[in-house]
Amino acid sequence: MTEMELAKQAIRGDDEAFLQLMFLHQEALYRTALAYLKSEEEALEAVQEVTFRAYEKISTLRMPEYVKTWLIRIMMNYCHDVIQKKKRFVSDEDVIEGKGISDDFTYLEVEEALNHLSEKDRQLVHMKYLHDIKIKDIADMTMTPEGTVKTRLYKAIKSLRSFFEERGEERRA
Amino acid sequence: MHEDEKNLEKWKEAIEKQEIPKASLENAILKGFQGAKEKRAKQMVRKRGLWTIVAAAVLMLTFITSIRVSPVFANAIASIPGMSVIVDMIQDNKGLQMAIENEHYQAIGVSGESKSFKVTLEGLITDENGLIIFSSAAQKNSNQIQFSSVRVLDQNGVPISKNGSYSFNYPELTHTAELEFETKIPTDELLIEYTFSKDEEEASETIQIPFKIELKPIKKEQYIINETVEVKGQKIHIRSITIGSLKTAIEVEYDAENTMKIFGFEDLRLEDEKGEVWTSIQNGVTARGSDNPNVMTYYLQSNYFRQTDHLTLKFNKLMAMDREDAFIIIDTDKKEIIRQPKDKRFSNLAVNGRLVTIELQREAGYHHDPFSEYMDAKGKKLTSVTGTFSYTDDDNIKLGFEMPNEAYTNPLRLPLTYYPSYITGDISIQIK
Repeated sequence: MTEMELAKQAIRGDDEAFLQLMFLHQEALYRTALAYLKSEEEALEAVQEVTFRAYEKISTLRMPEYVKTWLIRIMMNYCHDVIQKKKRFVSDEDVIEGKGISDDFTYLEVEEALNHLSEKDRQLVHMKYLHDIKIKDIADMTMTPEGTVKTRLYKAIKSLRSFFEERGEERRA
Repeated sequence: MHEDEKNLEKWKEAIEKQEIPKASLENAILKGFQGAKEKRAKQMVRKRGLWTIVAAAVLMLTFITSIRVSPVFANAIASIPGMSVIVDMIQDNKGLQMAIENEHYQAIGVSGESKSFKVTLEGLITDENGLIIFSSAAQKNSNQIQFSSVRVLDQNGVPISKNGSYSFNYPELTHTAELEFETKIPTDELLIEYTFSKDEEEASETIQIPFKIELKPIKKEQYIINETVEVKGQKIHIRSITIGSLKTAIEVEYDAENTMKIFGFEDLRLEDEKGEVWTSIQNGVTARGSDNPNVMTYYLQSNYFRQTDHLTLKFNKLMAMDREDAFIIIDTDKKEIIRQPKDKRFSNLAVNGRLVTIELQREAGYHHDPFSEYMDAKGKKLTSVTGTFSYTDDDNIKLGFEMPNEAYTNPLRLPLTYYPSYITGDISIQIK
């Protein structure tokens, strides 16, 4: 069965199809959670919660062709909430942002830069660069004109770049 | 933009290099799925009206059984239109099955429609002053709305039913509603009104279907017992037994001086002279409280349609624990369990925003949510928004509840309304 057929059946209430869909996209969901939350344990908890939410909401999904993007967006929104909640209780920025999942310098730098983006823009970067979702699909799924998505993405990248440049200058100084 | 994309590419690689904990990941999905299924199962039994209605919180999800019916029953239903829909709903209630075998079932089969639903009033079974209505539904679009209530109106549109308890079966979309009237069963034209709503919002759609009750009136049989029995020093007064066509009601008073809090009976039953047994209602309202917290009414499957010479009320096991132990105290800021019963079954308190989860060491045959209400340090009563119930890998019961969106003061006190702690005895009271 194709992903599209699975999604259609899951929307109609087929549990089997729903689970297959979740298994199909488990890696993408887990990696998204890991990118945000940076802890295996929390990422697994996120996958559990997102499965729960997705099951409750799937009957409202209008576009079965974008089920993956839909799931990833639920995940990103969940992760964003978790981080916001943590911020309310913990004031120490280091604790919030953690050590990251890799020591790779570029990775850490990108992560830091991403943290300075608005959540909307960060989600856009995730969809485009982590999950290789086409701009057209993002536009359809978020019901935003393609041009607007492109502009927003361009601006997000630009602000990432200016962040890198600033850092570069700091280092050189 | 080339350089930036290269950075992002490296960022992506770093994330993709992380190993996937495959087994745990699949497990997380299954747990989330199970949790969502159980939440849905819980929503089936909606508690409405009086706080004293104790609905069966036994989750049927894990016990999907094949349909077991007697040959007599199978014959009886074969001739009734729309009956196949109903078989599922009464397979664990032999009182209702016997009502149908004895032709005390009125098939109706009239449908009504709203924007999102088509509902068929399949049929009903009456009692002296109450009835069970069986319905089936078909959803016409994917609007997320659900059955929220069912009531009966008179010809002038005035509601005349009360104490509704509903059970909605998903995904079959069948529905049973048990309703009571202030008076005997009305015999004039009536309207049944189904209300659907989205989440807990206001009613969004209604369907009304006219019907008329044509079943013969039922006269309940009441036995005044007034006997006191003792189990492990705890006094239980059995006040009365009332046998109706839908259920048998047993009114019980727990002595106010008891040192233990009794949560309920595990095996309350009626036995006739041939050893045939009628046990508690499995899926529906199992008990009801009263203004006096020590007085409870428990419901058994009805034996109204069975001729018996003798009946004996029996029980051997009660869920009970020391009164002074029957609560826990938690602190959601410190994420600590401050006080709990001596056998320390509670563990792993976790707080995630407003969502609180706690685990309870499992006990065979125990499928209850131990909490129903809680109080903050200042005595303010809080009601959780939603509750979840699932099982963890290491066989604990994981309970979750969402704190209401209002200020409260820690620590919180949660009285236990169920707990896997039991006392046993051998009680037998002849009632006729």
